[in-house]
Amino acid sequence: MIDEIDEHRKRLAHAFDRAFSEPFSNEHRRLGDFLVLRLGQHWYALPVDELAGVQNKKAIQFLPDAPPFCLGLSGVRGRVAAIYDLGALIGAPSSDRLSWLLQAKADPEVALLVPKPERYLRAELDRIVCEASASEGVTVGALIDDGIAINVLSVARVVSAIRARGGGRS
Amino acid sequence: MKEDPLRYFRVEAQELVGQLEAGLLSYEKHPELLPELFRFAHTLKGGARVVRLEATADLAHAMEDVLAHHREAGTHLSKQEVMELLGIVDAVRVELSQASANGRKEAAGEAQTPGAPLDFETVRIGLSEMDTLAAGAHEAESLFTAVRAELRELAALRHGHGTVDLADRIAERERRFTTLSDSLELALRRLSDKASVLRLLDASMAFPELERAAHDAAALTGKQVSFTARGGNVKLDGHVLSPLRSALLHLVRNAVAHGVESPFERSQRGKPETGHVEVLVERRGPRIAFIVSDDGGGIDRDAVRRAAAARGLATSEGDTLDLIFQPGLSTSSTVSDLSGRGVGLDAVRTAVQALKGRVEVRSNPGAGTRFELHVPVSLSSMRALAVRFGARTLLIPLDSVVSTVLLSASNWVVRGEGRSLLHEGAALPLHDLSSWLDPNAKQQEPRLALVLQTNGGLVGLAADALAGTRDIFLRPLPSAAGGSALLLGTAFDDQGDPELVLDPQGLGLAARGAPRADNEPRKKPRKILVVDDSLTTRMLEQSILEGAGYDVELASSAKEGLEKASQGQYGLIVTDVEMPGMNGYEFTAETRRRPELRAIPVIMVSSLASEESRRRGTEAGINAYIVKGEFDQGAFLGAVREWLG
Repeated sequence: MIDEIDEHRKRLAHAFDRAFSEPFSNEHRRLGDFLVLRLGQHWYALPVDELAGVQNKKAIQFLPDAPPFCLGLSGVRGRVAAIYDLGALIGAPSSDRLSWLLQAKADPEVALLVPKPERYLRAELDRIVCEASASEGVTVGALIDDGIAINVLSVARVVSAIRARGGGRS
Repeated sequence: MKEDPLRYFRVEAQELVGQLEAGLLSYEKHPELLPELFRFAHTLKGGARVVRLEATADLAHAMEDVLAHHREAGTHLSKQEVMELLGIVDAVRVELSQASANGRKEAAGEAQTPGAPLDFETVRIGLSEMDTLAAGAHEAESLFTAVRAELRELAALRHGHGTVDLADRIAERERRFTTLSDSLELALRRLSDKASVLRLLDASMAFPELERAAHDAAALTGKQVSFTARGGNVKLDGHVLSPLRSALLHLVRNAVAHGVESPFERSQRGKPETGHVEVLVERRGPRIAFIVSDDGGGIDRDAVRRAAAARGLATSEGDTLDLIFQPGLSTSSTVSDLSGRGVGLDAVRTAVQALKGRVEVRSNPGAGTRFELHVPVSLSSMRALAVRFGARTLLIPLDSVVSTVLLSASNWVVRGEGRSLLHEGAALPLHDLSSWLDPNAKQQEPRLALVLQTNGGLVGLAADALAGTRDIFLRPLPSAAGGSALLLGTAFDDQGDPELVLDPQGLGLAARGAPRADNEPRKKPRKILVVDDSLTTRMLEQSILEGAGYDVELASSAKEGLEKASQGQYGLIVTDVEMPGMNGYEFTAETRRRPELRAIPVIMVSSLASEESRRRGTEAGINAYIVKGEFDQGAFLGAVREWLG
């Protein structure tokens, strides 16, 4: 019995040491990290590596002459950011539970107002099914997780869409 | 990004070149400076060799040879030699300018191109000041550590077993936490204030170039001029000093060339043969006054009126001296390398207005002329007045607020679609921003009005209440928030939430605009058409304009420009003069003939600096004229902002 426990301890120690000796690589396993949230009846996943930061919603200063879907300005991690309602941008029904601000890495002066994410998802990128038209819109594809279809969005493309609609220079 | 290889040499070389120039200019009065001049040249040579700027080192070596010869022989520099040495100083400046631009681009990983001028964007800070800054940062860091320790203590209390005095212990920790937070806030505020002061420059940094301009202008015109500069220890933002440089040079050259009389004329008038030009810098509250004065003959008001009448300008209203700021107006009958009174003064006013400043001029016949340029100390730090409009609050730069008045039946009237404020015998347009700031708000009669100074004159702004003043650090609007002609930017409040800062100049422009159907500010198209056959100029102007948030389209010929202008909604056209086929004058005249294009302002950017070129532009219908040789981003954007908003 003691020998078995000792053998098990050695196997665990070996596995532990080996894990430290090999560099961790998402690329090797082609994994992506996503925040999953629900807008209306649909689920959406936003790549974490396209976000500069996440914070709770703060006071939003009304901005006269604001571009379409821009709700105003807010202080986000030391910057003044233009706040956009992600749901309105992609045509999803509006929600009164918008409570999180996602700061875009492509433009840290843009933050997307969203409901509290339902969960954090690490998924193999190969699972994302791309549509032929996905190269143009803000959606890069979809994946199935726990039997639920989730639209995968590109935050960088959302920023480009904001610029194209008159929200700043492209 | 690599480190700029010339980062430190640039600072040292600029200082040495300035000292060489100042020493040479005062050499006639102070020949004892010769050994010092030699040392400056020698140090410059050594530094240039270290950073492998061989051309600069060779020029410094040439200066060193001349100075060494006189130092060893115990003789004096001749006037001719002083002029030649000043010429070498100029050549060193050009070399440094080119090397500086290349160094910065190399550091940024860009292609090397020559030409960027020396600027006022490098601050030299003393060790003791840096020590103070570092001590402040260390104090803040220590306080952070203490705050963290308190948080750990609080967490331990929360997770610990309950005791009788738990509430007392938590209360005590909370008190300590509050005290530490207050201390931390104070330390950070002191640090921020100190950093704000350290980034300011001495006004004296501009003096050597001005003295040199006076010296060269005197040599060119055969006049005897003494130059003095005072107030050099007044500090201001480099982003303010830099755009003012060309304006001050204009004024100093003009003062020598067209203000100060010839020695013969002066002796005839009972004046000393040597005229005097002075630059005085004074701090006046949140603003700084640059005063350029001379003891010359003064401005001939009759000649100004005649020149204005010849150009079809109204001369009956206002002060005659205001006319000298009209583009192209000059009383000089000849064109020389030195501009006449009037030529370039429109550029002076444009540069100052771009800085939210103003120009004043006073002139006494026979006694001289005095120009005062009033500009803010800093473009980003300012004192603002918080003003309430219903539930919304706007910050307004305090130096734009002339007065506040309580509205009553006796001081405002409804006029057509708008309102007028009766203020000190004048009727001012009275703006109401409440529906613009809060479209859903119920319309209420405003209680008070602010009288704001704008470049277009005084305007009234209806408001509900004043909410005090505060020091703010202006931040630009995010580009993704679009642009508003009425907003200068934003500033964080004490909670880290942004507040909007009103641009009084935008309000002034709105006041000058066409009548509006409602109370909301008129929105103009922000798209600009750049017409130029030079690829470099097109790209440069596009880069500057897009960098300032404008949408830009390009046309490489006047013909293409007309086609694009007719198809698109443009708020402004920027055009070159010399283009193959139709030139800029013909292009502008054509836009004035077409009803759909007539209202679009045209800014002409040309390498032609002559009065004749400006006159032809004005006749064709341009709104502003900018000379490429004097091209300055600030002045260019100032003109664009003035006509487009």
